[in-house]
Formats: sequence, structure tokens, C-alpha cells
Amino acid sequence: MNTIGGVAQAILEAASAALGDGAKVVEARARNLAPIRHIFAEDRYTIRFKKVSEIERDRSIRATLGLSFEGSPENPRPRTIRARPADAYGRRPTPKWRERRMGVAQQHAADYAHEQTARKLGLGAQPTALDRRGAYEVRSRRAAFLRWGHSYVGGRLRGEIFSTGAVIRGRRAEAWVISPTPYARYMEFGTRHNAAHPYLRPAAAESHGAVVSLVQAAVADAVRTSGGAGAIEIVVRL
Amino acid sequence: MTTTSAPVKRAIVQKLRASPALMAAIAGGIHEGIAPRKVRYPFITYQLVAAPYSYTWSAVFLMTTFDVSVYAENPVDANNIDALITTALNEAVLVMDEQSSMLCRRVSDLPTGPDIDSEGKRIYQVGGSYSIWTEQPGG
Repeated sequence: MNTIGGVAQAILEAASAALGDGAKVVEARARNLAPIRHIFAEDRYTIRFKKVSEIERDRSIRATLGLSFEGSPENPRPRTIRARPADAYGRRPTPKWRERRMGVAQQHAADYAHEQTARKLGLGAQPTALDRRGAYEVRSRRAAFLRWGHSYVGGRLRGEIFSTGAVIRGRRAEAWVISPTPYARYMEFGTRHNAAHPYLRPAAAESHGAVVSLVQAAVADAVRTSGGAGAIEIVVRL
Repeated sequence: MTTTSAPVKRAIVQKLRASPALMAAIAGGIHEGIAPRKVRYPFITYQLVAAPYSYTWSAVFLMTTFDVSVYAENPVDANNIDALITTALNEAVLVMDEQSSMLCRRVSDLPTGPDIDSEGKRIYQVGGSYSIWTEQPGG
């Protein structure tokens, strides 16, 4: 036969486990809301070939500069970066994590530098995987971050958000959603120079109902399975 | 018809402007989100944090959270103005179109600290989060 204390402990443990799941809900929402700076050019850069009239117009200038005639076989064809196919709703999938690894990003940064040099030489614009800001962030390693032993680049604020499992302290159970990025505070609360882009508190506010439902269901299930009967107060604070 | 958090925003600014002591203390005015570069100190910024809706059979509840911050050149001014804001907003009855005010309460301080502005001056940011619940017919 279960004692009241045993039933209460079973309920607390069930509520605690559900709270851990609730923290994951908040974490997922915070990841969705976290502002990110896109460093990949994606589909924004498109190839534009020069018109014949433009090539002819630039011919004398290029000759003065000692550059070869555009359109000659010496000049490489523009490289194409194939866009990912869109789904039925016109959305393109986000780049996979393996493409965001630092080594690949450094290769993209080298490509960007090469493209800049080519552009200065008048060889025409070519598409690059990184945009200008992205190349700077990769070069300066600002965008690089580690998560579970893997190095990634881009989306640092979003990528570093994590939730802890629920911990029982006396008669309380706590779970935390943490954004450990050094500039997270400035994004959440704003500064003199930048307006705030809150993401953690809205995530908590919007997920409140879902977390309460999870905990309520877990408590109801625990009461039924542990054979308890009585009034127990559960308070959920976000 | 359900109205949004815009009337709440207007009501907050009206409430702040209705305080003569506060308006006399801020030389730079009240701004949403971020103040322009040349604005004089001290000034106030406010920002909507979250505004989830809660529907019942007969009403819609809007539970908004706002951050109100003071930027000043010294911490004493910043804290004094923050206290004036708290006096003006805490437990205040806000007047809004199509919504009735249920609660307006300061729920936390902002964990912000000193900063350096574009001219190299040390700036103090002090503020708090305000929870404002309103009710409107509908649902």
C-alpha cells in the first residue's frame, strides 16, 4: 500500500520529468525566436552576364589596363552555386549542419576573397556562398562556436541555447533554459546602440500553456498509477 | 474585433507623459526601442517583449510584457528616473480603446549595466519589466 509521502514523491518525480520536457519546448521556441544574422548569401546573388555592348564598351579600358578581352577563353566561366530545390510551398530547406562547419566556411571565405580580387580586375561578379558580412565573420572567427564538441559557424546565438533537465530541490522542481552566448544579454535587453530583440522571455510566455498542460497530464497520470487520492497543489512558474 | 498591443503601448506613453516630475527629469524624451544618436541624456526607451493572447468563451486577454529603460550619464539620475517610472506605472489604471486594464505591475528589474556610447561617454542603463494584462470582449 502506498503512503501519502510515496504518492507525493511519485507525483513530484512525474511533474519534474514533464517539466524537463517543457523546458525543451521553451528551448525550441527560443531557438525559433533568436535573431540570427545570415552569413550565407543563399539565393540572393544571381549571375548576370554582361551584354555584348557592355563588353565592347569596356574593351578599350581593359586594353589600357593590360587586361585581356572579356569573353576570351582565358576567362573562366562564372561558377554556379546550385540552389536547393524548394518544396511545394516555395520554402527552401536550411543548410545542413555539416555545411556550416568551420573548415567548409573557411573555404567559402577563401572563395569570397578570390571573387573580390577577380572583381577588382574587372572580370565580372560571380556568386559566392558567403555574403560580405559572412566573409568577415568567418575570417575573424566571430561566427564560430562549439556545441557538444563540434565546431559550427553562423547562428551562434541560436545554436548555443540549451535546456537543463529538471532538478528536484526539496519540494520544488526546476528546469532552466540557458543562452550562454556572451552577447545574449544585449540582444534580450538592448543597449544604447542596439534595440532589444527579446527571444527568451517571449519563448517562456508563449510556451506557458504547453508546459502547464504537460505537467498537468503527467501529474494526472502519476496520481492514477500510484493509487493516490487527495488534493495536491502544483504551481508552475515560468 | 480583437485589438492588438498597440493601444497598450499608447496608454503606457500617455501615463508616462502625464507625470510632470518625470517629464521634467528627462531631457531626451521617450523613444520606442532605440533613441536616435544625437538625443540628449537622460531619456527613456520602451519595448514590447511579449504579448500572448488568451481566449475564453466571452473575452480575449492580452498579457503583454514591456521593458522600460532609462539611459543617463550617472547612476543616481538613472535610478531616480526609474523610481519615477515605477511610481507612474506600477498599479496604474491604463486608459485604452476597446480594452480594459486589469493589471499593470512591475515584475522585474533589468539586469543591465554601464555602457559606453558612440562619443565615449559612460552611460548607465536602468529599467524594469512591466506586466500589463488587458481584457477585451470577443473570444
